[in-house]
Parts: sequence; structure tokens; C-alpha cells
Amino acid sequence: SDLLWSRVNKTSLKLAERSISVEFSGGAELLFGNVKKHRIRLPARETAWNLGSLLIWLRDNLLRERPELFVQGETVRPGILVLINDTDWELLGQTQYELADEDTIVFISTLHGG
Amino acid sequence: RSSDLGRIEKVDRIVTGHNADDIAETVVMNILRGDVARLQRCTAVTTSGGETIPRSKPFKYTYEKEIVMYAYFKKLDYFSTECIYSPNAYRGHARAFLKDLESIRSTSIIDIIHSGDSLAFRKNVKFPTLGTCSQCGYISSQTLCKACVLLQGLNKGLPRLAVGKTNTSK
Repeated sequence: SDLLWSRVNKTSLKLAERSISVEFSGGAELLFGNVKKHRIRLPARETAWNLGSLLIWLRDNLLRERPELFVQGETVRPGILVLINDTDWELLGQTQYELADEDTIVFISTLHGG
Repeated sequence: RSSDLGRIEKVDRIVTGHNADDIAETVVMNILRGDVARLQRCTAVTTSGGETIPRSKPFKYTYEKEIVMYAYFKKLDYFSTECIYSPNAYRGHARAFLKDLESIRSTSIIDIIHSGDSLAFRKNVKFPTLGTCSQCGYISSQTLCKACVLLQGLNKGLPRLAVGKTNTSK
């Protein structure tokens, strides 16, 4: 029964996929093929999708050019605002926030002007 | 210039949208350049000087983030086209530095503005004297203001005059 239990645990380790909406504005959309709104389906994986892992996924799968203008280290480049369901991500744990199905993430760049 | 236009249209005051981030960047820039004259004036909410129309910056303490969030939630028309020269401008370096500083210490911007407000200079510090341009009459610290020098260069077919590091006036 111990062997059975560990087998059950292993199969349930993979967490559900996530369907979310991602929006870009304030000039950030230029890095993503000039498309402002995207529907994204994140594949199931063993550790939960959080905003930090979403950033890496966006950089590797959706970003068209100049990654240094979007990500800096493990987080967004300073000057890019992040909203999770219309709430400032600083109130929700920033990169630690775990994504839920149908979440809407908005990235607004404030790095422009002259 | 906008100030000249103000004079023609009989304007009492020009109000600009400079926000807290802009002013903090300006303080950092002027410190890096050692521009004592500008350091004295750059954090003032209202500036007036002789012939020029008084100017005010009501958003001096408003963060750029607040303005962007406001525009977003109120669904205002938001222009975000970047000036094509701005990535190479000196301000870009000051801005990047300030943003990194802010991520370590969140009060950086307001603290730098406060420092700019509190700056005082020793009596023996030399300041450029504020005179007027011999050509257009605008305030200038040189005999010819920068705008006139640049215009002169363009008219004489010397577009690089007074642009860049070495000034060659032929």
C-alpha cells in the first residue's frame, strides 16, 4: 500500500494548465509584435505557475525582440507596471503570486517620452 | 519656443506636466553634470525670471506611476510614442539609475526631490551670470543663446555647429 500511495502521489504532482489573458500597453506591446491583447494557455507542470515563471515563459515564447527591455534578472525591468486583475501586483506578492485560471495580467511600460 | 509663444498670445502662466520622476531625474542629471545654476532652480514649483512667462509644475510630487495608473483606470487617451532620440540622451542613464535605486529603496524619488529642494551653495561658488542673447533677447548665459547658435549653424550650412563635444565655429 506504500508503493501504491507513492504512485498516486507521483501522477497528481503535475498541476493543471492555466488559461490567462495578457495585455501590453504604454509601448510594451512593441516588444510583442505590436499586439496588445493575448490569450495564453500555459501547459501543466510540476510546480505551480507564478508570475515569475510567467515572465520567463513570456520572454522565451512571446517576446519578439530586446528582452532586456522587458525582464531584468528574475523580475520585470524597473519602470514596467504590472496589474493582476486590475490590482497592483505589489499588493499580491509580485513574482510570487500564483496564477489562477482566467487571470488577466497587464504590463504597462512607463519608460518612454522625451 | 513655448515661452515666446506665450508672450505673443498674452499668457499669464505656462503649466507643464513634469512629474516627480522627471524632477528627480533632472536633479540627478544636474549633479552628474555639475550644473550648479540648474540645480538651484530645477526643483522649484514655480519659476519666473524677468521677461519670461512664469512657469509652474503642479505634478512635482506626483509619481509617474500614479499618472499612468490614473490614465489606465480612467481609460484616458494615452500617448506613449517615444522620442526617437531619447534612448541616447543623457536623461536615459539618469532614469535607469533612478529606477534601479527605487527598487532598493522605494522612497528614492521623493527623497531626491527633497534633497534638491534643500541644496544650498557656498558663497564662493561661481555661477554663470544670467544675461540676454544679443540676437533674440531671450535669457542666456552666453552672448548668443544655444538656439541662435544652432540656427546660425543650420543657416550657414554647418549643421554640426555646437552639436556634440567639440564646438568649431568657422
